Amino acid sequence: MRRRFLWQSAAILSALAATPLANAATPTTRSPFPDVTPRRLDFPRDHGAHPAFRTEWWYLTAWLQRGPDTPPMGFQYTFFRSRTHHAQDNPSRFAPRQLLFAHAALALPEQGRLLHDDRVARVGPAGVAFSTETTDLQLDGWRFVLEDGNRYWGSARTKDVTLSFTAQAPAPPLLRGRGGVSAKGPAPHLASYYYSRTHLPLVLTCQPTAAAKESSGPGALWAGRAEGLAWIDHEWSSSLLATDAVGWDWIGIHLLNGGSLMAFRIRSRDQQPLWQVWEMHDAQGRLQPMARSSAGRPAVRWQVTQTWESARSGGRYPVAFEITLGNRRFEIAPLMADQEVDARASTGGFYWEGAVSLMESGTLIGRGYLELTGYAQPLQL
Amino acid sequence: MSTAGHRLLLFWLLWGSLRAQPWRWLLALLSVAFGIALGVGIHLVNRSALLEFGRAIDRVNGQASLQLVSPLGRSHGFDERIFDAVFDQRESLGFSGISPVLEIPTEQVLVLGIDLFRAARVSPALLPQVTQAASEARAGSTLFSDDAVFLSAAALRSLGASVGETITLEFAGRSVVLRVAGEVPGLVGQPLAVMDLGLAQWRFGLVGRLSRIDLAASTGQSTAALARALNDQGWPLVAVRAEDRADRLSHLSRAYRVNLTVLALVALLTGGFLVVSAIGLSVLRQQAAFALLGALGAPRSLTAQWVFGQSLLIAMLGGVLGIGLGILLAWLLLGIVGGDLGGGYFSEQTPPLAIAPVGLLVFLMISVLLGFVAGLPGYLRVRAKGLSVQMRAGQAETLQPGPMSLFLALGLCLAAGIFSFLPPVWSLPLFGYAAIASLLFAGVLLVPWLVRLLFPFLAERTARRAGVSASGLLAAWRLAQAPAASAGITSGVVAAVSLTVAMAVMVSSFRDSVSQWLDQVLPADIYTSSRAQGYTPLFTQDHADAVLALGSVARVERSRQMALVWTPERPEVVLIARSLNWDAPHRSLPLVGALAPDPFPATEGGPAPALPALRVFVSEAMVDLYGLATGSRATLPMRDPRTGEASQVWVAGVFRDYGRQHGAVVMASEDYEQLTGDLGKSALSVWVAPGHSVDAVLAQIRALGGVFAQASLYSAQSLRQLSLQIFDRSFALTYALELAALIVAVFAVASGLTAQVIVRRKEFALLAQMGQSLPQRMGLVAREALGLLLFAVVWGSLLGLAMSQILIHRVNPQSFHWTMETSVPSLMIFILGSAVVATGLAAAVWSSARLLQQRLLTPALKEDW
Repeated sequence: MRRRFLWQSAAILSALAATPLANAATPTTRSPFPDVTPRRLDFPRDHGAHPAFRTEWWYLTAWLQRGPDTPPMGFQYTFFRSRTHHAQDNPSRFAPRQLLFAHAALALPEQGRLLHDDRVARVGPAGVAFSTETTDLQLDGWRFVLEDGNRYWGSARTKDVTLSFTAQAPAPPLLRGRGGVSAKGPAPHLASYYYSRTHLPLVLTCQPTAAAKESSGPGALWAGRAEGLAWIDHEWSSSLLATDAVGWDWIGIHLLNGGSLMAFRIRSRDQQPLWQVWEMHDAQGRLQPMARSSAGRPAVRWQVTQTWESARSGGRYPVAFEITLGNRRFEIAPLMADQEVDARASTGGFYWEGAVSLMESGTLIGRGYLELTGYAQPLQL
Repeated sequence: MSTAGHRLLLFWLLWGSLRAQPWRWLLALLSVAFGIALGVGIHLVNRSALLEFGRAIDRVNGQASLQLVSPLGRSHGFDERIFDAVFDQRESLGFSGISPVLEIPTEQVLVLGIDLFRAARVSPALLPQVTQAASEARAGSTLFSDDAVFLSAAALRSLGASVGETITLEFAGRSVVLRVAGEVPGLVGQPLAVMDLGLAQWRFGLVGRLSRIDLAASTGQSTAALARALNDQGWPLVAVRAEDRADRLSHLSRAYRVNLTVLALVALLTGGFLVVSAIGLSVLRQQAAFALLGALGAPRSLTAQWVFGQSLLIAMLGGVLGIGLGILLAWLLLGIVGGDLGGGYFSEQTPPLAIAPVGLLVFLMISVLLGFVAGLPGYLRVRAKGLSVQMRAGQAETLQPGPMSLFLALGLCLAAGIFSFLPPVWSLPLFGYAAIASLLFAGVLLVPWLVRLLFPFLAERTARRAGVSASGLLAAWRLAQAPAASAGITSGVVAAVSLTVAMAVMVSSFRDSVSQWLDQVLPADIYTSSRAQGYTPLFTQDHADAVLALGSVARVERSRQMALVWTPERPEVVLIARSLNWDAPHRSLPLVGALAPDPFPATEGGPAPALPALRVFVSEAMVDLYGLATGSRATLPMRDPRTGEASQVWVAGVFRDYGRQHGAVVMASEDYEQLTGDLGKSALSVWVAPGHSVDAVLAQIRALGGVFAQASLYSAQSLRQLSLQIFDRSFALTYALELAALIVAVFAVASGLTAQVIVRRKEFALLAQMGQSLPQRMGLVAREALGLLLFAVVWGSLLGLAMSQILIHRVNPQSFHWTMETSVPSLMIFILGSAVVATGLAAAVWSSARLLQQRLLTPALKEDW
């Protein structure tokens, strides 16, 4: 019973948060939240939080290796900020105006398991805070900080491990869409401010907690240090999804040639693409031209080649795709099938966020992350 | 004899015994059932109430395993910055979840302000649910809107609201309009409201305040160790574990509960006497037949089976019937007087009936035990005599008591004396009850010896007096000659009268003491207290001035009352800050015993006093529960803001407090203000100026409006009446039990005298042959009954007085921690005694009248064995 109530209340929160996980409609009436309008992004200010907007997130994903011949692992670390409709004149420090959520996940394919944990709290008491000057997030001891404009660090103590990382951005932010305004649908208000930082060399240390250390044996937790390339997205908006959208499929891939690929498609209830974006940059950060359909839309076609059903949520996730773009043919293959994140206690519901490889015509050309939302249907209770 | 034949014979014998006196057996059965029913009823009502109360507390607490609350009680609250401090220690202390909670006792319903996200990890039962209809549109914005409140199903019912409507909650002079946005599925039966903490702080004017911090221990972490670590942190909070809460709950009403259960056992015991007398009668009737069977070769075990067969059958049937009746009784009591049996410990809610099979089985075992014990005297009597004696049924009457009973009685008296000086066990006066029981049995065993001492003396006096009727003379001689027979008849009356008198004296002493105490503690004319205690005490100096400015008021005093967690596992102690007259504290407080010598002699330049500067008075309960005494030191669970240390106090005296069973501490208002910086007061005492009517001033104060419109206002007169009403209600069940005991006693007299008539049929037949008329025979029986009843009532009353002293000086102080002065309700005892004598006499005459008819007596003379 308790699970059920928890789940139900969490499901409520997913609607509230309007994070990428949200599958409820975004209200269009009486919005106190500002629209995304074209403007020049200003750094380091825009690395910080934008509390006026309804939703904001900082997403870090990375493929890591402990040594040259060790199997790869995946790492995901995300902070969400959400502004509620709560009155601005409430003098209470506990006033639930701004909420922070954080997820951390470590995919260990040789053990076939995903360690993940999450936190959620209202901004205000107990040191839950964000900065509007630069990326500086604090949530129950979890941190995500940018120093000197290029050096990121973070740490999170989960129930199993303490994770800490540093990552150095080699290049200035890569602005998405038109100068950082990324359209999410045909209507002008369906957009977000969005920039990425790619190819960040990242060092992660992992220290199992005392309790986790005691459980030795084949399931013992990995302890030590791993390195790899990290990808950071920072995006904020007030209205992302059109009313008939249920979720999206998103990829962010480091290409082996030094370039990068970010693509997503927003799906309707009948799983038809409502909106598609495909941005491939070369090693110098130049946007590659892409084939367009006769209507001027990107001629990208995603086809599911493998699905995986979660025993936890009952959701069926398409964990492998074949993407055709003009005459090019790409394949996405997961590092492991089960990279589902159970975020019922924070943002609510389940989503799939996993390390994937990108192949073109059977040849590995990149590694990155795939995000699948809106697949796990609410459990029928 | 074959086994089957044996069984058949036993069946015939039993059936014969039962058929011989069906009404007597039925009476015995009913009396056992009555005692068991009372016991079962009280047990079930308490169990139901405790379970419900426990569930209610668990619901409010959301099942958190550990809580930090202010030592001044949860309604007092504390500064929310402590939450940040506790939060910062989460890694060093190792708890896994932390959830701040604000409790707002509004006029309509208790509101819990929670941080949803943090509560989800600590007390998920408190999580609200936006109803489906609302969530269609904007669930998230509903959850954190500016007016959302979530109600449990019971709160929806009690407020008559439904989801989507608005409700108005009143607290500390504020009316807050909120919209019911959904339900709280985890809190079904409890009327509770849940809302966002930040919203609650804002709307109820409590920004910056919290009532408690709920903590979840990590898996494998001991809550006891965590509680100790938390208490060592130096925060102005105390850690209370879920187990402590349960302890506290059972402490709350345990003494009251045990007292009632013992009363039920007393009723059972009195019923037991009836079974004994019925068995005795049965043995008398049939022992001749048995002796014959024995002579024919029946084994002795047949006798045992027959005697115990009767007693066990009756006792068990009574037990089963009693359990059924007890369940019915509990159901009725829960509906009528509520879960606390009128004791006033729990809320006014009616808990559902909770039946535990194991508890009921215990009551069945008690009835079996009763059957065995009740059969024992009869069995021993049958076995003791030779067959030839038994065959002469008429000779079977035991006239003289055996010497063993005297030694046993004296031994029991000694035991009673020792028991009454032993300390309580598990905070319960178990030895006190043992002393009363010993005294009771000793008193009953002494009856034949007293009869032997007393009635010959009476008989001689009667014989010497002129004009005494033959019946009177015969009665006196008979009583003098057969003391053991008298004992059988009177023991029930002695037991019932003594218990009733003991209770009556105790209740009357208690009531008189409470009444005197009320005079002492209510010196003013009008009392008003704010209903919303805690966060925002209503009465400031301005309020007091406003009352004084009415002109009709001579004096106004403000005081502060709050709950203080002295130790986590006991119910809160009440801290009272009020003006104290140090020169004559007797005028301010109903002091018991001497004052401690003044530790601060007014000698100039003398050595500084080594005692702590803070002087307090404590109630008698503090002496018993926490070992305080006049002149002793104590540590208040509050920190002195000047030193940062726990406040040391010095006990200047002890006062009587019937209002707060779990302890009270009184300190001067000035000291309290200095200690806490808290200037607010929760109550006003008003002295009306001469020449003004109290009622008029009451109306004037109420007309001042504002806080006074919502505060409770009482005249000292009505407060006094109310207190005594509550007192009487809480003893209603005691009166009922007394009445029950007396009714059983009257039954016992009737049945005992009837037995006498049966046994003495030959004697009466002989007298009849000698020309005694029926009225003369009736007169003889009536005079014997009168003599016995008078003796039993007087002896029972004396025993009762002795027992009342144990109740007053041992049982009450040990279970409720208060003392009282004895006051004997002589008139009541006289009326009670007269009623017992009169009804007993009438019952005896009525039940023996038929048996004394000559045509029934004559055959007895022809009997010859």
